Amino acid sequence: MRLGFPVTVLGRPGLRSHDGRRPPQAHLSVSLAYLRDILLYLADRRVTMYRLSADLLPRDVQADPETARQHIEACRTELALIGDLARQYDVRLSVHAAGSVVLSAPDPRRQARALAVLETLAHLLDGMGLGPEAVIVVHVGGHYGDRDQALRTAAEALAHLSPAARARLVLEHDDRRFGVGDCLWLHQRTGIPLVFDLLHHQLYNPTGMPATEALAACLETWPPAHVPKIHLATPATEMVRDRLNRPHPPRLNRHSHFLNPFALIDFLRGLPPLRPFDVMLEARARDLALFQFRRHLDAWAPELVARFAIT
Amino acid sequence: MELNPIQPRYEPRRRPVHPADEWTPVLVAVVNNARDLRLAREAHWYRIPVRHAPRQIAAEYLALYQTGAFGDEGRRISYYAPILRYHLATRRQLLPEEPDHPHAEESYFKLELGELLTLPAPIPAGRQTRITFIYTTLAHLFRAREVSDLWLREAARQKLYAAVRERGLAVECWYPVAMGNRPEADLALFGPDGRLTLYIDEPTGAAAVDAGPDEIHLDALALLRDAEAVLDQILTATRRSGNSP
Repeated sequence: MRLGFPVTVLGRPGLRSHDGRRPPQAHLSVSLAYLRDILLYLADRRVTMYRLSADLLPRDVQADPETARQHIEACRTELALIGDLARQYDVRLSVHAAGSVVLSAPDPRRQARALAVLETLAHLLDGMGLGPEAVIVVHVGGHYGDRDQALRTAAEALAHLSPAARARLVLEHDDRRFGVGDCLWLHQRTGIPLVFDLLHHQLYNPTGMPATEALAACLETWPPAHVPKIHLATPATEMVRDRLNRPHPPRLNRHSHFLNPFALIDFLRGLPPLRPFDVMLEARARDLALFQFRRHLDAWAPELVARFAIT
Repeated sequence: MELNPIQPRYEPRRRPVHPADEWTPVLVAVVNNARDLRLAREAHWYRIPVRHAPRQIAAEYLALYQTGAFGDEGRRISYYAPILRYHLATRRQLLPEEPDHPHAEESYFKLELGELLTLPAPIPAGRQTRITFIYTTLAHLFRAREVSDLWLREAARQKLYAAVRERGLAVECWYPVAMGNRPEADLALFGPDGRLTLYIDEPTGAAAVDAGPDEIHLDALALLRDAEAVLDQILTATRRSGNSP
């Protein structure tokens, strides 16, 4: 079982996830240089899974297929280097499409933009020469007043993706609109695998499906030869203060800074035998949370480290 | 009674440091011949062999340290430039006029640069005798009076020392230990259970916070960003391992 973290590196602040300068200065090649440095850092810290920034390519370029293609073509050698480094250091890469990528949008222009971004992200991963487990995670989107229609719209949109993009796409259920059941419906119509997210399932589970059953169902949507990935997170519980310094409870869909180890250890201990999967740890302390969780597993659940061959 | 006029000390005007400069990364690299400086100035690029590249090459600016080969203009950093692009190329592609060079087929990172800018005041090598790559920030570049000021480790050590003293812990700087090529630890913390030695690594090193039995390596940039948080981590980790100062 690989453990990974998303995007931002906190353990070494000079490492950026992408070229954050404003266009036209921002360029894919600079993002790839940062990514090269991050891969070396991941190798130093024995981290074998990492979520790429969705902004490796500047956002204004992503939705313009022709410009994106030119950027990617211009950085062909550098993209290949990233793929070589990922293979050399055995790091599984993935990317999560930005929240603005909405499959269920009734506006055809917005939907076309979403599909263009997904095609660009697939093209980037292909340019790195990565295998099929380098996936693009996307949510369904919004209800737009008609939940069933939104699901049908998303299914139709997915049919318009190129085979290359469809091969890399995975769907993640969310915390308030489309649960595991809805995404299983989409999987049955499109064949797109599903990413199980524990916190999202805990927050939105209208059918009352047990978490282990939902996890097993999502794992089975993946091709047999591929290792599925899931997301684990625990909710924030710290008090938040508003502009007037008044205390409020946090929103539960806000990730904790560090993971509650006992909640996750109990969850993993309660799992029946399942096919192997990798885990993206979604905590706001990013890599630091991963290192802490590894220490906690060693201290309190060494049997899980052995059972799941956690790296 | 005649008073000697007080001669004002000349302080070269320095560019004001903007808040964003504190974390704008700068890679300092070496240029040891006039051709490479000319390539940076006129063709707007600089090369780093992939095989010898440091662990961090991505930055927003490149600053050039000119070696003693430049005579009176050498042993200092005078120029810097924004980094616009990174590309991979062979030496033959970069320098086609030397097709038979022994390293012609080797791969290089080609850093495409913007306009070469002149620092308000050059940064002399000072006490620094051997310079390869230095990873620093734009704020450090504009404040530095000599090259050793660019190393983040010294600034990080001072910041951590202040944080440790603030908590009333017993601490010593540059604590001598018998350990390979680092004969002294940056800091040593003392407590009832013994001594904890802290080594601060530059960002180009493989730094890690590991609660070993009595030794921890720390990243200089992490310390500069938030020394208190790093100190919390150290103390929490060492309390659990039973070796707390």
